[in-house]
Amino acid sequence: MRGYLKYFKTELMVGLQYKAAAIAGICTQLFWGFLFCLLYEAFYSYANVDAITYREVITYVWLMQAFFSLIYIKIEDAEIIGKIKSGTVAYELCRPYNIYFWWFVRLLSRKYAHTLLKSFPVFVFAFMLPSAYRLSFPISFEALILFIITIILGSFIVVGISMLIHIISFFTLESKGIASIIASIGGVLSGMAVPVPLLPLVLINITKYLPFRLIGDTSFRIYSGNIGIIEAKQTIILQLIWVVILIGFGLLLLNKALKKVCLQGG
Amino acid sequence: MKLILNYLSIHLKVSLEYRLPFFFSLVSQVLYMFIELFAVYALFSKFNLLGVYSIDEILLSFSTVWFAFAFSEMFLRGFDNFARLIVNGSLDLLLVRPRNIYLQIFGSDICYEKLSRLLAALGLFIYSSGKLIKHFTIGKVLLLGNMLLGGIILFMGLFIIGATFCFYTIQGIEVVNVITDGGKQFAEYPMRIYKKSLRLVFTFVIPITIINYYPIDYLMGNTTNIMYIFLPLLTFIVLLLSINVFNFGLRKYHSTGS
Repeated sequence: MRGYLKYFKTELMVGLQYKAAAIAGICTQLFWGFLFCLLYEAFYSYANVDAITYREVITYVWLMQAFFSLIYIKIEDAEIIGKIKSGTVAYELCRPYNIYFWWFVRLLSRKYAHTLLKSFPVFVFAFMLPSAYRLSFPISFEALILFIITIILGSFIVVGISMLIHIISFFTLESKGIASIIASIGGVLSGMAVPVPLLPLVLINITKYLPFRLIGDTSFRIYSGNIGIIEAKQTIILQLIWVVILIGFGLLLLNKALKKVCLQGG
Repeated sequence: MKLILNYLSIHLKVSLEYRLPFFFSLVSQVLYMFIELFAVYALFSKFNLLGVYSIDEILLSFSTVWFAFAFSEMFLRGFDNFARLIVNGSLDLLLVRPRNIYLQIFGSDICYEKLSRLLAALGLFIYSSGKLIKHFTIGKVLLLGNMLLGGIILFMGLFIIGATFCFYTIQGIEVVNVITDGGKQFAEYPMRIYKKSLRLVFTFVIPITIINYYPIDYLMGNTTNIMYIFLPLLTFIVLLLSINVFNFGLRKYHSTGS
């Protein structure tokens, strides 16, 4: 356990070094946040939607930008994929640690490093905007606590999914295609394109049975009060279940993959 | 010309080497586009705006922009990933060859994965314009052609401007995508939904309204001003401008290699 923690810290430090990239990222996030604000402003000037208010959508937009690196599903780690392709993964296997959790920690730490660098400036900026586009404060202290818990659990879910994508490349040796299919479907179902309450009813029903919605969407809505406290607590249980499922499935798949791995090494 | 064909065929062969992943990529690319379209449609239906904006108008706005965007993503990949050429020194290699530099950057990478998107967008464009236009005239058909052409030219210009930034930043191209992706994101909705001030920004700063907002006005018969037909061609100004900026950047370029 201590080994994993140490690795987490080292990787976090490495991630925090990329400050220039972070500044670029912050600008991008601010731009997109603003863009979505203008877009929803246009829509809400025509009509209101019962499922989610304009204020809640604006809050949603800014939280999503602040935590974008944390909730975004993609192949983050070209290095892991590269290792799988080139066969240097053999060295990784020599470590006295479980390779699944080792990579899990790596992906997680990268996500936190990016988020730590980006989220604070986005928050500051979003709190200072004119009131029409401003990020609201959390609805209550309890909601804030639940928001923090759910967003952390959400990050486990997203890394669990991304681990599965990485493991699949053991079998296919090219994960870009599958990864982007999962990423684009997951993106919509996790509310990256449009907040989940604004999706068509059919999709909303589908999201209930999948983990994607639990990555960011529910957390953001807990923050703004769109989801009540009781439902928020149920969310945590649901998240825990999904974390166990995803990690269990990942471990299983990885063990299967590792039986084949000797074929690739040279 | 022969060189272009050569580039095209080489990259096609490369793509086809990994057949299954390539197929997955084709699917995922077009899937992504339809998901976006679905999101656009979802918003309009949630806000009960489908009476005000017909589905064909939404489709046409969407497909015009996505066609242009996919075209640039496919053929201007070299400019899209220009930082890579600078960082690993390949640009120096290209510069010493006795061929046009634009041609070579074009040839450095062609992304066939976007082909599915390109064709799907074109299909949507033809379908929706066929349904939107009540009375076909020569002018309207001409305008449709100009919209496609203007879109391609505009995004070419934007991609080249984006690449120019890399001369100064070497890295951090994420910001640059804001112009292209951001423009696309705004313009995939029928642009009359926005406030006038915002539309003006997208007319005079990033002139994206001239490839779908104004032309669609004409196609729907809201105006008969003949000038509208040729409006999309003004995007050539953007391309010209971007080429000049790029050339300027190129002259000041210092290699990152040793």
